[in-house]
Amino acid sequence: MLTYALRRTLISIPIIILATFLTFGIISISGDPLQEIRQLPNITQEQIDNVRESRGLDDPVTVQYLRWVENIAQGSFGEYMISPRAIWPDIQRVLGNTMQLVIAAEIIAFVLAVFLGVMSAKRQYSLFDYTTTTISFIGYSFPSFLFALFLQVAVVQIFVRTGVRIFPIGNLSSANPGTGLSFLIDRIWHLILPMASLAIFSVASYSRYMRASMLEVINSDYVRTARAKGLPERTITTRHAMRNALIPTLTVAALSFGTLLGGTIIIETVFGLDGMGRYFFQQLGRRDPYPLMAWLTIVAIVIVIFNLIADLLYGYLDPRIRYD
Amino acid sequence: MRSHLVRRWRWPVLLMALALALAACAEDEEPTEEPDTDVEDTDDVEEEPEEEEEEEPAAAAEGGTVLFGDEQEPTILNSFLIDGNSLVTSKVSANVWPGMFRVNPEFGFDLYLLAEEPEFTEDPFEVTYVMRDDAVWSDGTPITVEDVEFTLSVFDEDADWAGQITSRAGYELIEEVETDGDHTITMTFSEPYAPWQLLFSEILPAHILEGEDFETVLNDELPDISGGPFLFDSWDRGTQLRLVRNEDYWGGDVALDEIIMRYLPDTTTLTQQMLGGELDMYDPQPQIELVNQLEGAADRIDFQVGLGPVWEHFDFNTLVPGLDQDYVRQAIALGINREQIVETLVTPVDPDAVVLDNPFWMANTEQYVPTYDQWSYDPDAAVALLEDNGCEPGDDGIYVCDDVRLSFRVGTTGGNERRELTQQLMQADLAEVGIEIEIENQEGAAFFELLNTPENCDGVCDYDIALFAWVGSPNPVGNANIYGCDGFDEEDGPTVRPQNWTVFCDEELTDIMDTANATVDPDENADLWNEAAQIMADNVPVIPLFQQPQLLAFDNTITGPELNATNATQFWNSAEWAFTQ
Repeated sequence: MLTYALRRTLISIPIIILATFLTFGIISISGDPLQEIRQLPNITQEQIDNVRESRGLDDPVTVQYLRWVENIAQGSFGEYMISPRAIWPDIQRVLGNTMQLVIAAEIIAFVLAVFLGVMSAKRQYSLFDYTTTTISFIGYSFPSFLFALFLQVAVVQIFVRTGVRIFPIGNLSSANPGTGLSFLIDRIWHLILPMASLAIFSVASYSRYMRASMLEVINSDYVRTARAKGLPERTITTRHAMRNALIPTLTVAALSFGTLLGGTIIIETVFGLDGMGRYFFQQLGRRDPYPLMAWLTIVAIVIVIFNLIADLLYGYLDPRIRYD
Repeated sequence: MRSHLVRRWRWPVLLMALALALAACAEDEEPTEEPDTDVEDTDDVEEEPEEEEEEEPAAAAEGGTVLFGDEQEPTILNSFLIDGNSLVTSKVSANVWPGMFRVNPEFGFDLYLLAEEPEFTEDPFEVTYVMRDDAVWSDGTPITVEDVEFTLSVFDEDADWAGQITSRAGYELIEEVETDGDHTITMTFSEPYAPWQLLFSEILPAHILEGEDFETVLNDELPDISGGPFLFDSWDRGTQLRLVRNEDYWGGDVALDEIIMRYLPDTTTLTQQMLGGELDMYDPQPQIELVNQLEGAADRIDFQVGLGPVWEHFDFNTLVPGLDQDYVRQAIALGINREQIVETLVTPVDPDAVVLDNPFWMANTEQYVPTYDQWSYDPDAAVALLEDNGCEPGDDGIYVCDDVRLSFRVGTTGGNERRELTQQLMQADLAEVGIEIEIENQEGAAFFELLNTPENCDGVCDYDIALFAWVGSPNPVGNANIYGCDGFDEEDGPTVRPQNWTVFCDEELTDIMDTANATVDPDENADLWNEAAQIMADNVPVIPLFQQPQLLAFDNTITGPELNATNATQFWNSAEWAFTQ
């Protein structure tokens, strides 16, 4: 398994390099990073030229790319275009915040989806199944930003009418969040609405996959055999059926992790969360290629890692799968 | 099985509920976020206005935290550098670094660090500043001419950070500095500089910053010192910036304990936070729907609306065939019903909004002369002007002048509702006079990339008419950079200044603007800029539309905030803010 993981990682390196080169090229030709300062009152052409020269913007794209790679090789993502400020500390901060949100949302979505999927399959065509199916399709078709706005308005209306604030509707923490446990509680309190907004689509999606694969598994021969042997229904479901039914759902969950990261662009902007999505959105507006490249590289690496994790989990869940 | 599940989940669920309740209580303890839901009292007041008049204003209490919501966050905290040249950075520095003057909401200059109005001579241009002798930094060090000299040194063209300084305009003219004691300083300029009052709007502490690398020292935090009402405390990037009271503020007692700026990039969410009591104050771009929402919460939220310095306008690319003719631009000016645009899009937000008829002086300044009123809406006159110049309508009703069909693209920042509606109204108006308008928008940054000077576009830039806004200032000094032109060459065309994206080139206009920038007498200066505005109006390289309204909303338990749409920001009088008892 270690050889397999190593081989997969090595294969990923040229893919990431190619992706970064293409992205760098596209960003470089798609906009003028000095446009923002061009609009400043009293800015002179000399100042614009100074920045252009000091940042090597007149160099060919390949030279600029190699300079960026050099920074990466030195363990940093370089500096911002206009002010000489390191990018890496900002990336570290927003990545940590986004991971809190995405991982929590993904875990909640996965656990909930597995539960709903299994129960729906076990009680196929029951009221529970129909209700879950209906809610899933609503969740599937409901844009997450709209759901986020809906939640915000609902919470505000409750506050206006009753004076009780159930959840905050923005920011990652209160103005005075405290430390230790108090900070943790405050953070969870602030993340509940964003997590719900982010998880709703995943719950709907994963639960459908789980239900379908569970239906396939519980009608298979080996489950029928287990039942004939007199194993308790709970054991059949959890140890025999669910474990196999989890494989496709897990694949979808791992592959959609990148999509979930993308989804944070909207959710983090709506809730004002200082995460990767909001960072990307802000830097896109500034047309600064270096932080955008840092963002894209990190996202690419995260996607590769989670795809690898998914592959490795197959083997754990299904011993028939071999890593050649 | 069910009871087993209940038992298993009982404690986690209870813990979670307890945690949420604790968090909710902790947040409610914030004195600034307590809801004012005493609707009955408010109703009573509305029914008995005479009682309201008799009520004494609520007494101010010491303490409390104002949570100020902002869509943007500073990139760095050094407002002298290019990356810190933004209003949102000024909101921080206005609280910490005092200036010689402070710009008031009427675009006037109030004395701040100065003890008296400066004296000046015109030839040579010398300004003598006499500073207050009671002004001190928060560590007790007096604020003196040494600090002024240090602040001037920041603009040194040989400094390591010179390339990062936003603008040296005005400072580069100072040739000699002479001090007399600790509080009197005379500066001799190489030539008169009209907007000299805009200089030294922030004074830095020499004894703290001397010898530091100015390119980095104020980027991520400010030193533990202030000459203003508040001290910088902390900045959690992406979340909030905290200012705390300067206990030793020389300008008087400061009531508030803290101001915390909360950064959230979405106006809709900020508004919901304001309505939901999570914020105490914010200053969003006003839209009709937003004003309606705030009016709906009038029992808890006060708001002020006024004309700001950001003015919307159409810019013509005067190198485009058709738009290179004065009469075509004039016909367009006559054909656009600017009054209707203002009434439709701005008056519902600000009932005092007016059509802006001068590109240099804002309508709410005393220097304002409406030079563009000669182009009041008159579609018949527009048609007559075209026909007098030999234009003829084509089969489709669109005029053709000198083989050029009068069909132009108008672009703006896509997604900006007010601008898109302005385009639509303009399109409908000009269709009536036989001029075709095609709307071609780009997203924010992409749109502004189209606007440039010919040398940066390798010829004619790819736009015909652009709808966007410039930010005005108490003195129109920057307009020489925006509409100036330093000569015309038959082969190379005009040599325009860096922000002259209209490529309109008029030597007389440039001379007048340059002369105005060197004329320190306020009346003469105003006359010169109005003379320049008249040339602009006669040639129409730009059509001013209106000033964007500005809005400041705050919890009605706060006293003191007053809308200031200038670069002094809403924090211009933050020392006077207080919560009522």
